[in-house]
Amino acid sequence: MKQNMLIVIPAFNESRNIGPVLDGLRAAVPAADIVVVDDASTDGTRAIVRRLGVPVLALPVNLGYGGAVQTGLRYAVARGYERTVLFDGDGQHDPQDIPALVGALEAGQGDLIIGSRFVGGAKYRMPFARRTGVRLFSLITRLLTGRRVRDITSGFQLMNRPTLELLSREYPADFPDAEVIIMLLRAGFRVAEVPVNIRPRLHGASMYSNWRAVYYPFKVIVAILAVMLRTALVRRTN
Amino acid sequence: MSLQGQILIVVFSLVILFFVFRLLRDKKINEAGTLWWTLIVALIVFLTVDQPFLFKLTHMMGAYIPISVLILFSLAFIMVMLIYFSVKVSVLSNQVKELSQALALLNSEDKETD
Repeated sequence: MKQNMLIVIPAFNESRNIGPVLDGLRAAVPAADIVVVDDASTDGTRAIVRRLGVPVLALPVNLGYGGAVQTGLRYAVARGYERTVLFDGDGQHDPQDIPALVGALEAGQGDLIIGSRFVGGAKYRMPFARRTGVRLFSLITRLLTGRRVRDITSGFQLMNRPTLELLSREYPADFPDAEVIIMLLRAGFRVAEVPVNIRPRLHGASMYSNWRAVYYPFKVIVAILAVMLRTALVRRTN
Repeated sequence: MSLQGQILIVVFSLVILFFVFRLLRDKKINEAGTLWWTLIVALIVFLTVDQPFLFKLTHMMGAYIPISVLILFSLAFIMVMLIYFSVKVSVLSNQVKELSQALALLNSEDKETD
């Protein structure tokens, strides 16, 4: 695997998960650099990351998942990384899947490679309401772009430099999902999926729990509309 | 309510919605704010168009004129929005304070290491 790759891990109150996640990444992809974006955690997450010797971007105020991810992407741009992986800090993503994403990128399958729960015979059980939402947004994406992306909400992604530069500038503040994929496709970027193994969360609650589960689908619909209205303003950097 | 009155309210509401979506396109308003305004416009349009429901509501509230009920609900929606944005402003003020303090401490550490 080529070097010059950064793994960005947004983390909020993941003190019970972050240690095993970092250990797994170091074992699976020792050549890659890692940075944890601590989104103003209150449970000692950043102290654990520092003790493990991993760089941490400690946000002084909570920005939400999107804001934390964008911080990591801006860090990657500033330090000249050619490839950037988005990886969850809750233990759901398997670091052993990263070489498959890299292989797809090197084979030229896409500018953004999504670790997908729904391709290649991968079996992932999701609550009915969430699965319906994923299918709905996948359908909307196909109608608006002509491209079929099955796992439109996966947070496990690998991107090349041009994609990184765009997303470091244009990234949703709270729950980035379908609108990011639609924005990339309409701007001429290629998106591909590879099957990955998604595990149950080690500890803690999903960011989609409680009132967010009700707010999220409406917010994504408005965000998709915003992307459609702004399409002419987005240009591919390469 | 007269047909002219209904048309006027619906057209005015749609004009508001048009400007809100322009603000969304220009990134002057976020998705949450857009959702709030869309919900309010949708409720006002619904109450304006569904006259039987508005009359029923007017009777239930002991009011005499349906337009007064529509104005009351519009004011109530706006008050809820104002409370929401008051909370938002308070949160943002606290965040600005935290960021300013963090920046001051960072600058102070830089000067000490120089």
